[in-house]
Amino acid sequence: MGRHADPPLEDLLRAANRGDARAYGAFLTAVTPIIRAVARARGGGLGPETCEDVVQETLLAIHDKRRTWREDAPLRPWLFAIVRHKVVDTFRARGARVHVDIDDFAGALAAEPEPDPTERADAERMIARLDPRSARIVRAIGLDGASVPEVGASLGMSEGAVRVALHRALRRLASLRREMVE
Amino acid sequence: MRTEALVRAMAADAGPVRPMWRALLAAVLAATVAAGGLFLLAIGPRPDLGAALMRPDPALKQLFVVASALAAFGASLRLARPEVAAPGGWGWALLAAPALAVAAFWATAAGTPVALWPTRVAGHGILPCFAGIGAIGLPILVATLGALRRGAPARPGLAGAVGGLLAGSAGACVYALYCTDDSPMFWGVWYAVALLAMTATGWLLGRRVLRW
Repeated sequence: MGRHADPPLEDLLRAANRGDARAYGAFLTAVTPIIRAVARARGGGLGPETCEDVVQETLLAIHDKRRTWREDAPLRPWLFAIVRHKVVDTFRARGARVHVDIDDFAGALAAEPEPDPTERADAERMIARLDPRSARIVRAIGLDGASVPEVGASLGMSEGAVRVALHRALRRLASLRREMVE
Repeated sequence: MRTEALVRAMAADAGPVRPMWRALLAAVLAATVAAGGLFLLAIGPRPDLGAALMRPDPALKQLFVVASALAAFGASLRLARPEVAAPGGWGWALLAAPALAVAAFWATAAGTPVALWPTRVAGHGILPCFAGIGAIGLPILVATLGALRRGAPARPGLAGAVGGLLAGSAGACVYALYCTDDSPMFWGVWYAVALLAMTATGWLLGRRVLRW
């Protein structure tokens, strides 16, 4: 497995917080299986689709709170604190009481990555509640793999305007999820 | 939407992030300059400000509120992190200002006849003190909580309480430029009560608005 040869998560998030999108993508891709393993270990009884909702909600929280990681602090306690908080919180909001402890993370780090379950209806419903232009931007970049300049060209927007709209759309998605479960 | 798609969208939203300390500092400074500036423009500092700060009692009063503000800034910044549940070393720093107030109170009380204690403690204006610190401190509290909302406090109530102390102390730093009640037997009691009230307000609000 190449995991040990990959750059440490610290390096990735440090670069990401300075604006490196490629490092940020690698960071999120690397932490997704960890979050998924914790969610499944704790809430597997609720089905893989609910677990995947929890994974996505946790990723959105990491996105929103990445400024709170201090570059001179170890990354894992920070990451695990966010994951534990969001996993417990989102399962509770769905009526399930779960408890996450540090052993779950040891298991998660050792686990083989599990596949992403099929398309999530929830997330699609949430995107549909964005304004049409924001929804198009999120779909184009997320599903079609378009770049920000490409989206700008196809929608007749400047790159900066696409970035701002994407940023707002992600924040809105996070708050829509909170509203939905509360 | 598949999780990879969400990850792609989030990665496209990467950008330099402003560190928490800068967001909090900017919010507190801007609110203090705005609210404190308005207060000083409307009412003005004490006429003998420069000379007063050369005397021990007014200087100690100013030191008390500045020390409280600095410790509360460090502690609330620390408590805005998700992996941190206690103020740590900043907890000791938070004790410095109260220790100074207690020491100054007793040193002054020891040199004052007991018959004069009530007069000294009552000072000239307990209500103006509360109103002033509250009027300057509450807008600062709004700005402080706004900045802390961008954090991820493990304990929202505690982070809000220390944020309330920060806002109250910043407000008191400005109010002390106006206030002529210099006896530690006055400010050691009433400033402390005002700061405790701001701390409690921050706790109540923080429990609600700092959840994430």
